Amino acid sequence: MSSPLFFDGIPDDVPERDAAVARSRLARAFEELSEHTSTDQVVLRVGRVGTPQPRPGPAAVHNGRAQTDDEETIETLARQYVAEPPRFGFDQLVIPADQSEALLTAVNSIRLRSKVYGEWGLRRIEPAPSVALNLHGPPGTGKTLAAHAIAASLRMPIILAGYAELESKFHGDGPKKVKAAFHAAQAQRALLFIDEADSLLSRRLTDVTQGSEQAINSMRSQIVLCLDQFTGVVVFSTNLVSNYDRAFESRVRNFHFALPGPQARLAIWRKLLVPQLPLDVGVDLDQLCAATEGFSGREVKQAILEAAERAAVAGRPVVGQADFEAAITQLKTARAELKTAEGRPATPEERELIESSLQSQGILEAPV
Amino acid sequence: MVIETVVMGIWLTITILDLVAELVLKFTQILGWFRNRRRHLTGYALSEAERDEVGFTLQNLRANGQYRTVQGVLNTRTNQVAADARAITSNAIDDQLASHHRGSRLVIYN
Repeated sequence: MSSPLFFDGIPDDVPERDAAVARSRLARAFEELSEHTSTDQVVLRVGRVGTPQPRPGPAAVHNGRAQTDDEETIETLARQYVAEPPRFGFDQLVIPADQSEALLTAVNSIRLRSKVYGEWGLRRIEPAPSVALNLHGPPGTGKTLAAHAIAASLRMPIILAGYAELESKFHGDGPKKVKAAFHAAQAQRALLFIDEADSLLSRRLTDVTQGSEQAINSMRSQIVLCLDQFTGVVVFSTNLVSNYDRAFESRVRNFHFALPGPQARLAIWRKLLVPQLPLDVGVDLDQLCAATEGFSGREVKQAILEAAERAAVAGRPVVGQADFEAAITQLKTARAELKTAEGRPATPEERELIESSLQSQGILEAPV
Repeated sequence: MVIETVVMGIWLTITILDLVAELVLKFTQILGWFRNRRRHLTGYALSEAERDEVGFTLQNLRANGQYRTVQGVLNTRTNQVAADARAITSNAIDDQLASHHRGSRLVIYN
């Protein structure tokens, strides 16, 4: 059975009869073309040369039938995801050369999957080829920067979507938002970057007792469906997924972003100390690098910004070693405080673990 | 004698009810417990084992209007909750703790 077609961008003021005729003709032409091509995914875009790229509009119709409420909702939701030019390139990313090469190779293989798996028939031996990258590692290690760099190297705009935006307090809206994000990326030919995706890629819960658990399961199932239909590039970012859903094992390629070692940290210091920043002659980079052991790239950046602000506020013409050391000490103290002061809602997995442990310890009462 | 016992019983009941009624659980108390626990265990230094630990508070509102807050530590490597978890019953919670639990029964601190 062929997938449903959608027609996007017919202006609202076109009479429905004319729009229906246009859709019907386009559908026939598309079906004829599909029969004569060996690729498994054909996407056509129609418009005059030089005109702006069409955005998803409310006039989408599937296979000539009237648009359902759900489809209309998806298209409406998709409008909030607007592609933007990537802000960083690979030259700004400090990771080992073999890792950046592996990243690019993976991305290019995803772009060529219709050829490899469709034309060359490898879908017979791997029905669910990888369609996405998952950049995982501690916060501040360059995952977001890498997503921008990948988009830049592919000459694609990027759509940034966070898990918090996709999750909804209304049951059933989460999967629609997921679908809308993929729809927007497809329509705008953009790389889709889903940040903080830990919860989305985790294993679906088998013992569902609450509506919220069912909602998260629905979102995870929707992600699998979207990945199977999506012909673009999607990049996830996760901090710590301990239990991936099996459905993602073949569909998602994982790349680990570790905290930088001494050499990488020194390279980050050198890259971030921009030439315009006036430095005291006594600034010892090796010492600063040693003092920031365990820091992520983002934390090194924060130390530099903090030190520069300190010097500027004190009216000093240059940033000195003492400014950097004070900034580093402050960041270390703040880190220790944050370890306990910041709260976040538990993931369904954490909830399962904690509640069952507390019940076995006899501490947890049944909720009333 | 019987009257004295009854009076004493009423006084004790009122005193206990007063104590419970005045008890407002504050976020600083929650934070203090986490900090004291760390100081006791490691003298402030962040040990390797501690890097795997996250704190949590789990809160239920009972039918009688009281809050029951369970506080503890989960080791994310071993998936075990430490045995020193504690439960606090209070009539009210302060704004800071309430804001952490807004929309979430179980909050993780890491």
